Amino acid sequence: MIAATGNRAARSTAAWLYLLLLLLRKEVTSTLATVANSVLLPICICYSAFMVSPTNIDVQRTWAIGGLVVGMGMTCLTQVSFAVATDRLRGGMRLIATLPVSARAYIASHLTYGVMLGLLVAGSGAVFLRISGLTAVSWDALPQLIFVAALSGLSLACIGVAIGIWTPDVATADTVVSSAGLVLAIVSPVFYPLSALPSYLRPIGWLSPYTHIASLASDIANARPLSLAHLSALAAIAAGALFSTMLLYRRGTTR
Amino acid sequence: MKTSLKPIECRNLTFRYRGGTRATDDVTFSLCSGDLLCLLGPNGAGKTTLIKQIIGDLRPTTGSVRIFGEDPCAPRAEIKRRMGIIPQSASLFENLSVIVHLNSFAALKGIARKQRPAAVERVIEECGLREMLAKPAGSLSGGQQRSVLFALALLADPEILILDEPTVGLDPIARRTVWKTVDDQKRRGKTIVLTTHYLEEAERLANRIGFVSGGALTHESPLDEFYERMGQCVRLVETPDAGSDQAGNVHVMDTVEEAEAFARLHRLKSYSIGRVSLEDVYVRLAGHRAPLHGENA
Repeated sequence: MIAATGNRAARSTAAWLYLLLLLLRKEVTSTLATVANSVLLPICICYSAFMVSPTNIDVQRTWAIGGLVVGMGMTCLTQVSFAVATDRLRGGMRLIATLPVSARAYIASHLTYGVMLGLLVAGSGAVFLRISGLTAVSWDALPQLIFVAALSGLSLACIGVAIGIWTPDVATADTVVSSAGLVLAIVSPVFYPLSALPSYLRPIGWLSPYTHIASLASDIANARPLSLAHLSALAAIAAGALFSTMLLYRRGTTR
Repeated sequence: MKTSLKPIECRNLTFRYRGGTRATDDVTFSLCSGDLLCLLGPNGAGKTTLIKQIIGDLRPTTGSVRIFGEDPCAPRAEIKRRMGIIPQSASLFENLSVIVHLNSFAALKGIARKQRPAAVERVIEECGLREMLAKPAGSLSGGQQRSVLFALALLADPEILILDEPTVGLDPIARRTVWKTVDDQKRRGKTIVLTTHYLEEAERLANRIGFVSGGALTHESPLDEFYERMGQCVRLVETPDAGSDQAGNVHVMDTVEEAEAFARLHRLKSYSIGRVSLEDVYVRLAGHRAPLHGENA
């Protein structure tokens, strides 16, 4: 047998990185297409807002950020859930299961992919907001932007992995992701404040990652300090989704 | 290195699905280096479930599996480093080329960077993949994809090979190439578990045969002993008439004398009496002796 290199921790890290590389190679075309779509979405929404209210820059900014959040949500959810679902349903996961890599490394690679998508969409969005003159994120706010984008990508990727493991077939994944994205967009105040939601929908709004991502993105765009409540809620959603994902993964792969 | 430990040891292995269905039932066997156990049995007999427990994908309900003395379910990653596996329903990533698969899997199997090119080159040669290296896996035929899966299993030069129907869908030439590679691995002292429905494959490769039926390993022995289980049984094959496009009927008899009496009774002009084939044993073990009598060869 050819000897393996490094200690267990080094091998786990290497497995995570090589799985991520494999994932990026598999998904390169669809990733670029989806990211492009997610940036086109706020441009379309912003254009509509401009036509409706040509002089109110606040409305245009809010709509652009809302579009960006929905775009990010769709990108991370769709890409991650499809990557997992196709691996699981088309035999790729069985092939990966023959490798000396842990389930944690597999999930970590997909969550990292989600974080990368979050950063990519947020970065493109920040460039779009600057070019369109709606807002200019200062260099000082860059660490905040990176942190929020990464946390957003992580929380959405956790939900994506859970959908990918739970869904019984690839066609269902498509329906589930589209429906989940729509429901999240409806119950989340991404184009208007949370207070505008009917009182019975507000608790559901708090459970949606979109609500917190939109609020935090708005804080960054308007150069306000980040809301600790939304930050904590987003972190809690990520932790809850990660826990459910691990449970679902174990059940899904040991059936 | 725990070289004195048996590569594979299963004791009273039972697996029940949540509904209570027994997929494997009190399976016990062990294999030494150089053993090639071929698991035979009808569809749904529990062969793949048994394989899944050996590789640690399913935890047995009761009983234990030990790979070099270790539980494959506990430190799965470490144990799998010593195994090369071809799962029955695994498939390649359609848009990735064969060479990308090989390089990625060499890295994921933990092969040192400097050793990877040699390891990849070795399996390309052994599995005859040279012509298809740049092709996306999705454009390969089913048989070619199985060859690539076989190459991936051999990458880290593992001590144990678990091959779940490795030649299904391969043409006769490709199948013989796989047989040669498996035989080479056996000669090099690898421990191999193979499931197949091709009895010729089992006869050519295996030195041990296991018959799985209803989740239980009803017979497990060296190939010769396996034949001996048929006692003095012989097969009588009627020679078809000249010009006939039909194959001759096959009859399994308990003794040569009984076969000759049968031939006299039916006034057979031309026939042959010989040793029973593995297929005859298979059919008898599967509990279908009756249809053999008078069955077409």
